[in-house]
Amino acid sequence: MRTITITVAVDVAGALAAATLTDNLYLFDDNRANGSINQGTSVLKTRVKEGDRLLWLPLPFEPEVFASIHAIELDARYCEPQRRTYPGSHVVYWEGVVKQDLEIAPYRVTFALGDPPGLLSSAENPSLIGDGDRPGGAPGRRETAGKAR
Amino acid sequence: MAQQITVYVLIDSVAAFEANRLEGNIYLMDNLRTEGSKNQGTGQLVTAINGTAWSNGTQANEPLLNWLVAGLSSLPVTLPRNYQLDRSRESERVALDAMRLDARALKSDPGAENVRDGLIRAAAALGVHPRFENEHGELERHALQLLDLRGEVVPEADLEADDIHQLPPIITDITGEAVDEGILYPAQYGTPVPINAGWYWSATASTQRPGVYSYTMHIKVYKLIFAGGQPIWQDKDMTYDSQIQVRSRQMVNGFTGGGTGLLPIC
Repeated sequence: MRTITITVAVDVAGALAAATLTDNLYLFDDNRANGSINQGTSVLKTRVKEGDRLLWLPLPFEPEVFASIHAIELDARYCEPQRRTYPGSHVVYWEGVVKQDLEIAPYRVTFALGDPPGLLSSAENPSLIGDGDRPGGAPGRRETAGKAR
Repeated sequence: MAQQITVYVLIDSVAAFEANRLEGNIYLMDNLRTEGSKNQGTGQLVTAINGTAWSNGTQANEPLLNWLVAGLSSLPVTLPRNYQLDRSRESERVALDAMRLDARALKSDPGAENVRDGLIRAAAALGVHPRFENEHGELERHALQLLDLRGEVVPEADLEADDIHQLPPIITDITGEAVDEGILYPAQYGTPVPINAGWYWSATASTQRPGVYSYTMHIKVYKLIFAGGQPIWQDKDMTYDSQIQVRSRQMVNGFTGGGTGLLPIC
């Protein structure tokens, strides 16, 4: 079991101005060495194994503007992320355990942004990927939503 | 008014530390994608600095560039400024309260096993202060206890866990072509905003001479290591080059797109 952080960066002013997360969302993880790909894009693919613990952490570009991860929606067969709050603060993060090995599990990120907060969801989906989708093996395959193995 | 440009520097600290290099482990973004910055989310960001000039050619605004650094295996930067210190103190207060009660109970009944067990448990739950090498090369006790990525204090028994909050990297200097050429004038400032305990690097930019200029970030990267079973924050100094593209155009009225005379009166 490993702990993998997925940092979800959002250009808050850009997203509020355009009323979309498209082109304003950048995801990163600390698992590139083990095969995660598409770092710094909205379609990050995080390589995971059964039992891995995932933490989704927020990184808003404007620290002065309210920005909070409102939801992480993922196929419950693979992972059920839970909303958590840092003790003694209002900062929200999401945590989930990978329930079983998988090929690909896309997920959707929804942010609450601004004051009063409005909800914006990602149009392009980041994913969790398994060992069957290693880069170099067959690049570009399985770009669409996968099925359970 | 000066244009505020923020460059976010996101670093996979553990990977950079182990590889002894920032290349491949650093990602840069700024808030000027719509204004012409290129290669967002990569190590090759080119930040657009769009200056304006009066009709006589003198500079009309002073763009401000801010750098904010964050680590990929670290707590979110939006947590309160002294979060790690507050959590350390809170855990020590809880442990001390428990120990005080246990000690009182032991005084009245020195043989009470449940009290003795409680005391041992309270001591075991105490957090750990790692050491760090100070400017004299001596190992010194770090003021902050280790936290995990959920903001909880890490007890001694869990030191080997893989979810420890790594001290975020910090910028220690900005140098390079853009500074030598008098395009960027960098300095370190303080702010109530919680990132990096409120310290950040900022620069004003001269836009008199448009062009592409490189600059060098000097970055200290930390990783928790163990020496003789003792946790130590070890640091490494690294550098990374990035670029700015300076443009300048004549000042226009933002409402009319025309000259900078009086605003139109409705």
